[in-house]
Amino acid sequence: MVFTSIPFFLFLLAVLLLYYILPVNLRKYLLIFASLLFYGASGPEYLFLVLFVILFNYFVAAGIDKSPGKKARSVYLYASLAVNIGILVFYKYLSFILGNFALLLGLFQESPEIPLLKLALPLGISYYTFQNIGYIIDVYRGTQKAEKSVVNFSLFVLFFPKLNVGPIERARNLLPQISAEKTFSTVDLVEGSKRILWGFFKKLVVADRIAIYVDAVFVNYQYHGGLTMLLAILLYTLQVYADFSGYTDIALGTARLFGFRLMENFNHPLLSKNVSDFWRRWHISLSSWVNDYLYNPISLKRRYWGNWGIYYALFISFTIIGIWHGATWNYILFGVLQSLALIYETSTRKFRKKISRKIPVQAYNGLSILFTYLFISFALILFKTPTPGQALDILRSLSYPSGELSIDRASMILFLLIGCSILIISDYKSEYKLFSLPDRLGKSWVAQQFAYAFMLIYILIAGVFDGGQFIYFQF
Amino acid sequence: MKEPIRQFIFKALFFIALILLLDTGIGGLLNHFYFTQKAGDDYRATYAIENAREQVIILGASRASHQYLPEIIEKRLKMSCFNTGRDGASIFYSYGILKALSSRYRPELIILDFSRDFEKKQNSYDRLAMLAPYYHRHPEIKPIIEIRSKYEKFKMYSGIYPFNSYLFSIAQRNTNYNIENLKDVKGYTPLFRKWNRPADNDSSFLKYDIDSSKVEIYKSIIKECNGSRVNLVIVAAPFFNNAKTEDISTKLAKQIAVQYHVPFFDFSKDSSFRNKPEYFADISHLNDEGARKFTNLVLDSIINSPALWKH
Repeated sequence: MVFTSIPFFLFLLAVLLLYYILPVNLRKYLLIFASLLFYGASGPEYLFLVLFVILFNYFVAAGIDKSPGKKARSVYLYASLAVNIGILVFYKYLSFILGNFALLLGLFQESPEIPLLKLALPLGISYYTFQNIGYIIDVYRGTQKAEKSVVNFSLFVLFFPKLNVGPIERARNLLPQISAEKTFSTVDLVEGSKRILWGFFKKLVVADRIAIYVDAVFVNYQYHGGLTMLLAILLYTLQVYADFSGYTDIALGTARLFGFRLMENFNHPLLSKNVSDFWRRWHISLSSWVNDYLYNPISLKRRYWGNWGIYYALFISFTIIGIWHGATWNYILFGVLQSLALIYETSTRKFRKKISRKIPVQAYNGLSILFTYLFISFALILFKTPTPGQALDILRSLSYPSGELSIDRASMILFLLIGCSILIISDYKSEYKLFSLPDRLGKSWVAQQFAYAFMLIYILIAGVFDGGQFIYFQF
Repeated sequence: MKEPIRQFIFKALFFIALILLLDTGIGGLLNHFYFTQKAGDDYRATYAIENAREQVIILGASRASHQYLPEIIEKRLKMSCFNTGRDGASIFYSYGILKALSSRYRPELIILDFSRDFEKKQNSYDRLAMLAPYYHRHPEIKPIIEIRSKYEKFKMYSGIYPFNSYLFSIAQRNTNYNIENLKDVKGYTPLFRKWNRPADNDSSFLKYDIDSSKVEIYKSIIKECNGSRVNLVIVAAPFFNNAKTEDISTKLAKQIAVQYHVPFFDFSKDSSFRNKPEYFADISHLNDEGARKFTNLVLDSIINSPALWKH
């Protein structure tokens, strides 16, 4: 069920009404039931898998909590890691591993007989697996109590706004909210609705509008000039951002309607001044997860290596971020590329600081944002293409004679420009707190109603209603 | 507690009323100005759906719009002609135009340009949006627009939705801004550039799934013409490609045409255009020079076809 579809809207309306009509003690059950329905609508065959994962992790956490000795706790931890990662590898990476193994064997024998599996990826598996692993590690470390209620834990995993595409929630944020009694709040309803509307704007007006142009260019890249390719590459970054952050806004807004506050996933990443800064602002729930459960433990363990320990931790962490996105060489390369950029930034920090003192601050910041955007845009070619070879072809096509900029219709470009400008200005405004409306206007409910009504009307005028699925669903 | 809830309900109702008011008002304006456009695709679609009375009608997508010259057809067949082809359209659009035409009059001849039209792709459904502005004015094409999705009829309650994405084109085509570039000659929109790359042998683009709904619509076009005794010819125009594989859509379309006794002229691999980039604007479209040659070839086949002019 896509967040921008009519079935989801009807589903949300029905669940919300029931939620506030039902007695408080039944609301969690309703949310679990609704989440199962939501998940089942996308692929009922994997309902049992997610239920198994819930029960398994619930009992493992209880086991860790009850075990007094470190050894017994470790057994539970490693068993949990093996099962969670095992399931993820089986569904997401096995065909990739076997395929590459077959290729490797093909170097030595003519027709290697390796059974190739083509499994459908259970929706949200990458998100809930990481969430569960984080929870188990927290319980193991003693920073989180094991959840006593299986109902609460089920809702922690299943809560439908974040089930399919995150954010990858932390137990310390969501579990206390699940335990707490929820009361009807008009503020939650209004703020949640505003957030959902903004998410719709990002997805329908910006991301899907850009997608029309970018898809058309990438599919026929061999027929386009360098200038058109460059524009498509630069726009794709905006598309991915608007698509994923739009999804997150809808998820956060939907959760807010039920009184839950999910963690933020973005903090104006396109205004990052370097790649490290970018990863602190982009898909925060994933990057902070990797920071807490991979980067910090590895760099701590390798602290005797000095800087090399940090480089090693960066390399492992970001390669895993790449692999998390999918089972292709492109995603692995994407991760490696990010780690190399971060290693470069770490090793040249002092030198860059020295240079920055010689250049006016605004010029330095502007150039830093530009270079970071360019780096991310070129790295994202690996997201858009299926193989490293095709990514190279795209890069090569930049050298084709520029020719005319391929623009199908002026109106399409106008819609695209307006959508992108609103998104960028909004990010810029909240990042630098540049200007705000006069108090009388900003706080007037009539003015606010008009503003949101116009936004909704603009979505109807300029939104792309057939854009389909969110990009991050595939991960 | 009661006061905030009362306030909340009041504000929510105010917001809903505001949305309805804006949707109706802006939708009404868009509706008015959509139908007062002076040139361009929408203007041509409105002409085809509401005013056309020509004896020969050309149906299809961009390969119809850029490749069949009504002036040559009129001269050689001594009949009036209009080209309803539209960039980005699909066979659903052609059927919609045919339904609207049939509700008003009976053309003498319909030329349906067939361009791998059975390929399963989502954007064929998305592009039914081209017919959305006519949803309330033309009940005969409602079922075709509703193929887009099962919720389409509910979305059409909005005043703005049928004109989604039309704002700037409506504005441009109601003024004289750049209007000369949008002009056509009886629906024909020539391309004057010349293709400058060698023909490809790649046939990978010919591997795709067949959309059974499109096949059914194709059959419906044939049945509609046969039922109302309209002469129909189906034409597959050339591509600038040297792939040897036969396109599966064209193959199936030919079989169906034979089954219903409708002439099918296949120029998709015609030697007159093979390895001749000077006739093409890009790999899928002939330029003006190519279109003139092609229209004459199509007319030769039509004039010499014994299966035609029975009605």
